[in-house]
Amino acid sequence: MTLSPQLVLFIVFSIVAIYAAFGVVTTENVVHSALSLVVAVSAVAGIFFVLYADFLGLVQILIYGGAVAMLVLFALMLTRGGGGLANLDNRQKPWALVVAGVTLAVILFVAISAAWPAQQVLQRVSIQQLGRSLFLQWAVPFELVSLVLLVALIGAIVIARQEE
Amino acid sequence: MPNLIQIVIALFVVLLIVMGIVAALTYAERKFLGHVQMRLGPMRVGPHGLFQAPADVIKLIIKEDLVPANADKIVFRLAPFIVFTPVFMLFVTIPFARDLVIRNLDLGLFYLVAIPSITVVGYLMAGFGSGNKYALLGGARTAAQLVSYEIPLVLALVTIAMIADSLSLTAIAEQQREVPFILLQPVGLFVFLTAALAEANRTPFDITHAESEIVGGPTVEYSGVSWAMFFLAEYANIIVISSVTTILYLGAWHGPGSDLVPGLGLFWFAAKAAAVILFIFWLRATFPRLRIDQLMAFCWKVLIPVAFANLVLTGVFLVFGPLAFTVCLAAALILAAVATRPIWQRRIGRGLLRSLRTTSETIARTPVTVQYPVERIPVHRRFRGIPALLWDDEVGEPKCVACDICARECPVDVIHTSGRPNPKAKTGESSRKRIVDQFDLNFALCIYCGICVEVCPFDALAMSRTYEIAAESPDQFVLHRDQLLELTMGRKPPADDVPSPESQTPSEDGESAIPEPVGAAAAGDRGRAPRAPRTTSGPRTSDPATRNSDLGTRTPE
Repeated sequence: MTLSPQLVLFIVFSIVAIYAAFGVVTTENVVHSALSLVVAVSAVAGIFFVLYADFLGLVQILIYGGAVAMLVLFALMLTRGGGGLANLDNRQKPWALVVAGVTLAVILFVAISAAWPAQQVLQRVSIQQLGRSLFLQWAVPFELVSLVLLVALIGAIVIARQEE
Repeated sequence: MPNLIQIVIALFVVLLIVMGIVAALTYAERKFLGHVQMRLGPMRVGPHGLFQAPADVIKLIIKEDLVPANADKIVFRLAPFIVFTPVFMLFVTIPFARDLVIRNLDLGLFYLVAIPSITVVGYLMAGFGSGNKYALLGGARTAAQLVSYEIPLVLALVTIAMIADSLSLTAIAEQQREVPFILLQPVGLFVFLTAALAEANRTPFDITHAESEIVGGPTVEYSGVSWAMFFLAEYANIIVISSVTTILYLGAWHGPGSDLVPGLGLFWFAAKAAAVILFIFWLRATFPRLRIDQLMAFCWKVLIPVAFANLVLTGVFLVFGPLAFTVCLAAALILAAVATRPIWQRRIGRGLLRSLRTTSETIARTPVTVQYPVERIPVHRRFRGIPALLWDDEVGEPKCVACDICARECPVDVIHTSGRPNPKAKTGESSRKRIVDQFDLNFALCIYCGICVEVCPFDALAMSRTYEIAAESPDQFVLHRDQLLELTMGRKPPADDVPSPESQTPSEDGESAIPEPVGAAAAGDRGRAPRAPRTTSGPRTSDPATRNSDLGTRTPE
């Protein structure tokens, strides 16, 4: 296997993503942890770009790198007095372990059972193709996800309004 | 990989150009704001202040780049890069002319939305990393504002994508050969420009910086080059906004003759972008900063509904045709008119337009600033400056005879005089038996009441028109006889006509001034070098020891 530029970039992004992901769980400062998360998801976006998934990469940056990370930081800064050393453990530790274990198992199962290499030649999927398959072939799941998000949105407003 | 090298070189060139334009923009903005406020703006550095921007750049580079002791050092240091880099990345896909683009991305429009979202993280990092509560507040404000205004921004861009049927900026621009999208999407332009200004933290949406409340917000602790990067990001953002507005709404490089003459397209693009930038400056000059609750309310209650209505109506037009569109438009307008009745009744929009008219009128007016040391404003005819001595031109001597009446009547006791026999009286040249020898006026304490002028029996005093009353040390606040004469004469009194004290032999009544060496020696005794008076007034010293001798506490000779 030759060391193509794509492969080099893939390795670099992977190392950054893994390193940052460890940073998320090992650092004691919650704000640093959240910032490591930004680095990790941005590195994953980089992997998407290397794999010709431009749209996915940009979505990753927009949603995870920008919006989600920002909301996490926003909440941390306002609720924990601007970060610092916080007690990161609580009673939900075993449940968190279970969820993490199950997720890991699923990912490992998929990774092992998949037929590698998945595709010999990477193909760039145009945004038109992506749009058609999303809104024609997968229209119902797409709308379902939208509905779930809408319900979550309304739920958040209801909970926030209860205090008034 | 020659392609990659080309791209890197192109990026570097773009970076240099952007920095140059940013420098020019800061100058242009300060000049524009100055003229709106009937000032001249920068004038001192170079002709019409043209070198102000380079001077500022040099200042920022030389300035020490401080890290507060309380800061989270890594986060603090990284933040400016996280803010600047995404903004600069946008230039990769912005076409400035038909083929003048580093990389025409198929997802260009989406790229423009996705990449800047990282900027917010940078501002939050700056806010948190500074270890400063104002910075933290500013960071929180930035997060709230940028998340909110991203929604109308995206909605406006989606509408453009629907009309153009593409996300590529070049393709969108090419579709406006005949009709610029501003005619199809006037509402979209309004939503886009408003949201984009909010995303760029520009006035009237600059509550994230709000100098008067949170003293600069996330950037409060930054200095030197780090601060310059935030600054660069803000102005680079303005360039992006104006360029993207030109591409999406104003027909990009299309204009009269742009297809025939090569290079004219770039000119049209630059002209349109400059117009947008000027409009942004105009908004800044006109509108005050919004309050944070007004800002949020405006986004969620006005901008987002309008953006959604625009999106839906455009969709109706594209799918169902003009007839359905007209019906829906009418319905939407009626609905909007009913829903926003309180707004119409308070005539909010009218005030905004009127304020824009006011600023556009003031910019045409001549600034009232004068180039002070060179030009001077004439003072009012009743203006009263420091009391000054008058010169008797007929005889060629001061009119004052040192009768000391003014000194006694002075309510704040700032005048001290002493005189001597007038040599000209002996020869019959003058009717004055005595002549002023010393006349000291402490203008730091003078209240310009004019009583000294009123009481003078010889009309030897007048209020001068001097208003430049400043000194570099306390003893310079005392003006002496010749300086006071100069104020009314406009020139130095001739030294020959007023014999200086040391040329006088000690006279018989002992009233004459003591010889100069004594004063100098007295000054030397106190460990101070004798100081030269501010303006030449003969060989006199302003040393208090000399003055004391006039008042009777004679220094032994």
